[in-house]
Amino acid sequence: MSSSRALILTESLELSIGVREVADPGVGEALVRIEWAGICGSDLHVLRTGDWVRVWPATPGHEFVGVVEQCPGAEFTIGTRVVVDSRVPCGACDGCARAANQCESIGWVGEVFPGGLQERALIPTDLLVEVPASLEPELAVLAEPLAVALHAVNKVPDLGAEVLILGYGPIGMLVHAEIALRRPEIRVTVVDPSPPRRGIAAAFGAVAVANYVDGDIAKADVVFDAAGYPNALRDSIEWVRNGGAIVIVALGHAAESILPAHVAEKGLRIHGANGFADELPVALTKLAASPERFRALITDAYPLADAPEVLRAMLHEPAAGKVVFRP
Amino acid sequence: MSGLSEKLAARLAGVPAYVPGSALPGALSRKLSSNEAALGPSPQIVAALQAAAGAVNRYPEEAELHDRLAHRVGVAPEQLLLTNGSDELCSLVSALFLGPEDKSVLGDPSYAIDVKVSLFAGSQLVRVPLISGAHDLPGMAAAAVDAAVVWLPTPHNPTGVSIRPAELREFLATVPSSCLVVVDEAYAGYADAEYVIDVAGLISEFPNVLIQRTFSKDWAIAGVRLGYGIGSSEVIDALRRARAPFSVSGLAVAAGMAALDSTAWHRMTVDRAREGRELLQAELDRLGIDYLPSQANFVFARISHPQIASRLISAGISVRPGENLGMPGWVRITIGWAPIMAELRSLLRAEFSTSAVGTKGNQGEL
Repeated sequence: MSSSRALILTESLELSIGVREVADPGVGEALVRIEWAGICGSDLHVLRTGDWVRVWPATPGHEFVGVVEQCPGAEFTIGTRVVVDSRVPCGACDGCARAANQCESIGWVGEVFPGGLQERALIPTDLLVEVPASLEPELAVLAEPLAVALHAVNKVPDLGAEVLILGYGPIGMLVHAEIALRRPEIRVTVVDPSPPRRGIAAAFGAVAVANYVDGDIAKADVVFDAAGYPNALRDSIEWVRNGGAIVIVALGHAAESILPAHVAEKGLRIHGANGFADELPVALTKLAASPERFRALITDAYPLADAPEVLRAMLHEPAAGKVVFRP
Repeated sequence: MSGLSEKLAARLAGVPAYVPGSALPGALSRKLSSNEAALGPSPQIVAALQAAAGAVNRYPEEAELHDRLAHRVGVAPEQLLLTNGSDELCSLVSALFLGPEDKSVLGDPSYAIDVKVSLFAGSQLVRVPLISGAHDLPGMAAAAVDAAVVWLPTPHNPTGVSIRPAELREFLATVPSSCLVVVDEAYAGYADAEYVIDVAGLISEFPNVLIQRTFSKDWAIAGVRLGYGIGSSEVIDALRRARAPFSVSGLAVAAGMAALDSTAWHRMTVDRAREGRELLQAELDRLGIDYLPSQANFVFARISHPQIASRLISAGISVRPGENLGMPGWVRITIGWAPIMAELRSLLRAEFSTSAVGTKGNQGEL
């Protein structure tokens, strides 16, 4: 048993820095000293609602990079730098037979068991992926969200000439990065009300607008909904070209009504992208190959001690880009 | 050979050796010692350099960049000169304006390059100590009465303290028109709006002013060496005649053109550096560590480098010891990439959270 300084979320949704007791790892487990942990929109949802948490008090965080300190089964050498595969599938359902992210009762690291916003975490070794030696840990922390973005982009083999991204939080940024690396000639338009986010989009060559006015900007071949605001799907259907595709990667929680006839008449393909399939190792390779394309996407970084104050502020005002903490 | 050695020793007497900032092995992104732009050049600049690499058999053509830059600055083309980094402008000023009979006025401490070119010219150095990290403008004005050149970086390096435009005008009004005042704005891109100088108005009112700028800092292309000077057409024409015809490389021209097209990138990276500066200064406030209020992409803090050296080495982070900058007992910290700055803040907390050094407001020898 060892102690780990950690962000603690109580069932009454109070945040503080405390200490968790971490069990010694057994065979099939590793004790990972965490170097960096990122904040996802779903973490903020957990902080607001307590949804999905199975163990209280919770320590959120499913995007993290660290170093293996103990590994009794020797699946990883001590000192190996790893990122975590955030998915925790049940392993028994029909969905799991197809892919982990199609599990009927999928859980996520940080919700099923304590996550990365702490000094050390006990992680099943089958959830660990080795980081390439050339990749800095500060960038490797982006591997999980980049895998999510890659999975979303992979839904549409032909991206066409015009892409519209709704929402330029970290996932929208990473979708843009992947499109720019894959097809730099594609014209990307970004819609986000946040001036700093539009500034980042413009810095990477996108046309960035606060509000999309149909007819003002050409309709897109593919629309990525990385915002999930109320009526985002209705807007996506309106702003996509006939025969185009919509990829929903955001977790919008507001019910909305659409006219199915519009989907049929426009001949649209609508894809949902949940987490990722086999993109996590690919994400690590891409980060190692093009570090300068990703560095600017980490906009805020803090010592873990600052996490309660910073996260409380983020619940009211989202950060411009990816926020990471150093345990 | 011994005759040559004696001649060299005489020429080099007092000329300081430049000690560049360095990264620890394999830790370039953790280098906070050379005031480089943390997020690198824009994607457009990288693409332009790749495209220009295929044309390096040609002599550079700088006219378009020159004219675009003059238009952007708001001066006539004949009032601007491109240079091979801003350091070349120092050498040109020295070659044209300084000789053994002349006085060269500098702050103390000051840029090593200003000292070096002044000494090579054989001129007499008049060093005016800073006050609380700022230039002693009345002291410099008094020294400038019979001087040939005044070197005036704003924001100052290594202190980061900037001169307000009204103070600058007041100073210039007291300097003889025969004395060239070199206002080095290498870090002005990071300064608050209240420090922005009306360059066109200034050189019109004071023809003895030469504004010195660089693409090395906020434009993030230190590696290709591109700077420029802005001044009266008479001064610029003289400098142009003194400059080698192709001193600005084709790669620098290509990168400079792309930089001018990268305004969104420039805005983002400058904003990021300014936010990082505020975060670091707030941390120093919390820890009770003295620092000088910076308008640049670095902060100069009263921290003994040896005291934090082992923690820095463990973290792979390098900062600039004040010993290399004429200010022992201080360090200059470049505002780097957000994660590295968070590590640095953690490191400072670990060292100083229980035993703060210095006292706010006591800036002693500065």
